[in-house]
Amino acid sequence: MKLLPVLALLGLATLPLAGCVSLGTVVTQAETVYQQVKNYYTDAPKAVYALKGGFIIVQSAVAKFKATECPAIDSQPWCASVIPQVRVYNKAAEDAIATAKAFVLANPKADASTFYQAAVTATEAYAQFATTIGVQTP
Amino acid sequence: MNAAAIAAFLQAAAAILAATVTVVQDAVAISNLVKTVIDQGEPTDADWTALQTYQDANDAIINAPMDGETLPPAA
Repeated sequence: MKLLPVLALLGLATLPLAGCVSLGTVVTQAETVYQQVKNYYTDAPKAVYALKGGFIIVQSAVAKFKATECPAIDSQPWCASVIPQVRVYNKAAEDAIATAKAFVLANPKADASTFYQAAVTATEAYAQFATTIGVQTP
Repeated sequence: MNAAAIAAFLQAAAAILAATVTVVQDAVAISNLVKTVIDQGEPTDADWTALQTYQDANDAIINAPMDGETLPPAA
């Protein structure tokens, strides 16, 4: 397992965020952090833990996006359609990660790749959607 | 662009910038938490709970109804 590189990346990848001015950029950066985490961790419980951390970074950006852009259903013309979709992606990723977590905790020595990949796929879809809606911010 | 439009734009930009700063703080905190846990070994129940706290806070925002929104009944 390549721990040191990913630990360095986790720290470095967040630093450029300080200069960002749009949530779309933040979501993109968060997705980059998540990709780096995904590519490095191979130990099952640690991998799922890191995946959940990457997911929550994306989720934090989405939560702030919703609070800022869509406090009311008519705050933006697209809030009524986009926010319900956000919730669907959010729940799907959470459920997939919860399933992967339950498996690796119950079966720490077993192959968790199927569950892990399902969690990765759901999180990637969420991050991709978040990036797409993020570009709508000024 | 008139003065009112400029003021509205600046207000919107300031709100987004403020939200961005918060997101950065969250990202750094979460990254540090993950780094610390991985350094120590396998995640413990307390480690999972610490991470879950962030998720629960985000869920409260994302799943809260927008003003004027009626959520469908839970399945």
